[in-house]
Amino acid sequence: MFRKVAIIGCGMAKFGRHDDKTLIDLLAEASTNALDDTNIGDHDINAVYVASMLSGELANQTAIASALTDELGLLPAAAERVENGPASGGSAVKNACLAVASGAYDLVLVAGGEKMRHVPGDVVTDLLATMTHPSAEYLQGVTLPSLAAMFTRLYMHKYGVERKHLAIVAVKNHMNALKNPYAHLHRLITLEGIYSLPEAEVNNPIVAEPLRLFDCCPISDGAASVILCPAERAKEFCDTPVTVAGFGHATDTLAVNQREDPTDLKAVIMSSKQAFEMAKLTPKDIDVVELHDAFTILEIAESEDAGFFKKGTGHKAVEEGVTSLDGKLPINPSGGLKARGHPTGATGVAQIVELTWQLRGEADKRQVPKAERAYSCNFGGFGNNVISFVLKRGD
Amino acid sequence: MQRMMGVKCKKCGKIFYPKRARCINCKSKELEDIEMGDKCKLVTYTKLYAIPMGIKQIPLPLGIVEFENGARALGQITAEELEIGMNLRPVWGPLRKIRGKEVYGFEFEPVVRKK
Amino acid sequence: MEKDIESILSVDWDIPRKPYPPKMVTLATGEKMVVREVSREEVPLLLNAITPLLTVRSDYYDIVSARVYAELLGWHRYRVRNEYCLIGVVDDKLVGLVNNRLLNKKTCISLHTIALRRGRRVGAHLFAAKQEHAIENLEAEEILVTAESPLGFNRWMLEWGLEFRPGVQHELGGANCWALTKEAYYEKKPKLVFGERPVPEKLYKKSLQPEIIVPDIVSGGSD
Repeated sequence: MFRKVAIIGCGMAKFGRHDDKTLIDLLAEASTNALDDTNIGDHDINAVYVASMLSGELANQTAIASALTDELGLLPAAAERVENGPASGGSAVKNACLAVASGAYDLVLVAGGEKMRHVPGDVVTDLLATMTHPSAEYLQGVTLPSLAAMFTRLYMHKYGVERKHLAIVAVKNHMNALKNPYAHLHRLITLEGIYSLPEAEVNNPIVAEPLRLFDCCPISDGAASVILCPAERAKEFCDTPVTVAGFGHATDTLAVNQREDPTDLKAVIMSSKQAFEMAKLTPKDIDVVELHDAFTILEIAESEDAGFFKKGTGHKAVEEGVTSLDGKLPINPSGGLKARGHPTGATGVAQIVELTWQLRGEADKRQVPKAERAYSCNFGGFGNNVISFVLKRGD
Repeated sequence: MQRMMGVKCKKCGKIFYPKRARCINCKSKELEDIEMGDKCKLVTYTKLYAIPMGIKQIPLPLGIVEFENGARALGQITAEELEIGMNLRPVWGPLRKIRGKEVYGFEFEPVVRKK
Repeated sequence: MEKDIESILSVDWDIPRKPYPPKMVTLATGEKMVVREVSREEVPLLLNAITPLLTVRSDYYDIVSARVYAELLGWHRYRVRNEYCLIGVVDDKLVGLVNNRLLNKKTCISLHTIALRRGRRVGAHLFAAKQEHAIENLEAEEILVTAESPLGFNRWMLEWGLEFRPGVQHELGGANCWALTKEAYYEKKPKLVFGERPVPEKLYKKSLQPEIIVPDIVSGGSD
C-alpha cells in the first residue's frame, strides 16, 4: 500500500524572541540546518511543505511555502503551506509522509514556523481564540486558556488531579529544557516557588481558575524542519535513518460542550490507535514521548488517551516520577511546549525533530538511554484535531 | 423575547446546541429547531482573569451548562459564586465587543429553585 | 549666602519616618530575593544600574527609567521631599527597585517599579513591598497610583483592584490617577504581600553590596 518513509535530516531555529529575524529567516535557518544535517548533495528536493498558522496575520506573508522555496533556492519544487491551527506542524509532516509514501515525491522538506512575540499578547490570544467555535465559544469571550481551565476543573472533579500534579509537570519540563539549547525558556522553577510556598500566589498567578501562569506555555518565535525520503533510499543520505512507523489523524467536535464527556480526548485516542496500528506496535513498546502540553493538564490527559496510562491515573505517574527524564517513560525530554516554547506552526515539526535526535542518540544531555521507538501527539484547536506519530530507529 | 433555540434531529432524535449542517449523531440533514428551555445545570466553569479584547469584566465567569433535554451549551455566567451542579437559566444579553461593536447572545444566570 | 539659599531649596523628610524591616521572598525559580530599603548614599549605584534602560523603547522602559533617574537623583541631592526606595537583591545581584514618596502624613504617591531581571515577578513583589511600607510602617491612609505601560496597568490597577479617581491628576505628568486605600490594601494583602522576616544574616549581608547586572531587556537574557 505505502512506501515506508524515513527521516534523514532535521534542524531547528532556537525558539524564543527574535525581533531581528523575519519568519522567512527563521524557517530558512531551520531548513538550512536540516539540509546540512543530511547528505543529499546534488539531489533535488522535490516538494516543500510549510506549516504556519498565522503567517498572514502576524508576519504579513501568505502563501509562505512559495516564499521559503524561493529563499532556499529549491525552485522548481512543489510547494504548499499547511494550516491546521497548532497542529499545522503535524499536518505538514503527515502530508509530506503521504507525498513520499505515495511514490509521487522522493525528497521532501518540511518546515514549520511562527513569529508571534512582536505583537501584544492579547492580539495573539485573540487570533488563537478564532480557532474555537464562532457562536458557541468565541462570541462568549472564550480563549484557549479558559477552555483548558474548564477541562482542568472537570478533570480534577472526576479523577482527583490536584494543582500539585500540574505544578510537577511544569517543573519537570523546565528542568528538561535547561538541557535543550533550542528551548525558549532556560529557567529553573521549583515546586516551592510555584506551588507550596505562600508567595506562590504572586509567583504563579491565576490565568483562568484553576490554571495559573506556569500551567500555560509561552508564546514563541521559532522554526523546525525535517527532511523525508523513501526508507529504501535512506542509507544513501544518512547514517542513522529514523522510520515513520505510523501516523494517525482524527477530529472531534469543534464546540467543547458537544462532546459526550469533555474529559475524553477522542481525537487523541483515535489518532493514537491509528498510528500504533499502522506501526504494528503498542504504547508499551515506546521508549520516549513528546506530547502537546500547551497547558500542563494536557500532558496528563494526553498521556492517558494516547494509551500510556489508564484513564485517570496519568497524574499519579507524574507524581511518581515515571515521566521524568530518568523515569520509565520520559515525556517531553525537550521541555515540551511549556518550556521549549510554542511557535504554533513549528511545534508539530519540533516534536519530530526532538524524537529523531533521541532515536539517533544525538540528544546530548537530555538523551533517553537506548531509545528505539518514540511517539508524538500534536494537538490542534482544543483537542478537536489531533495528529499522532510513531517513529522507529532504523528499519 | 429571545428564546434559546437548539436543534433536534428528526431521524434519530438527538438534540444539540449550537446548530450544524448535519446531525452530530447520524449525519441526517433533517433537522428542526427546538427550544432549549429555561432549566440547566452547571457542568464545569472557570473565572478568566486574562480577559480577551472587547471584554471589560474581570474576572469573566464562563461555564458549560447542561439542559434537561441532554444538550449542552457554553457561555458567560452572571454569578460570582459558582458551583458544579448549580441551577441556571439562559438570558439574552450583551456578551462582548468585536471590532468596536457590541454583540449579544445567551448567557446564564443563577436560579433559586423553589422547593 | 549660598548656605542660606541651599537651606531654602533643600528638602528632606518632614514627617515621621520609620525604616523598612527587610524581608526575604522566594521567587518561582527558587531564588531568594532580599527586599530592603536603600540609603541616600546608594543612589549613585542605582543610577548606574538603570542607565542602560534610558534608551530602551520597548515596554516603556525609557520613560520609566528616565523618571526614576530624576526621582533618585533628586532625592540624593535634597530636591525631593519624603522619598524612599526599596531594592530586590538575589544572591548579590540587584534585580529590581521601587520608589514612593509621601505627599503628607495621609497621602503617599506611588512613583515607579523597575524589574531588571524579568520573568520572575520581581516587580510584583517589590510593588507590594513599597505599598506595604507606606501603609503599615509609615501609616499613610491611601496611595495614589498611575502607570506608564499597559503591563503596569494590568499588574497594578487590575490585580490590586485600584479605585479610579476621576479628575485627579497624578504627580507624574498629570496622568490619570487610581488609589489604593488602607482598607483595600489590607483586603488584598493576604493574596499579594509576602515575605519572611527576619532575613538570614548571611543573605542580608550579601545584599548590602549589590552588583549591577545588565538588565534582561537589554541583554535579551529573558524572553
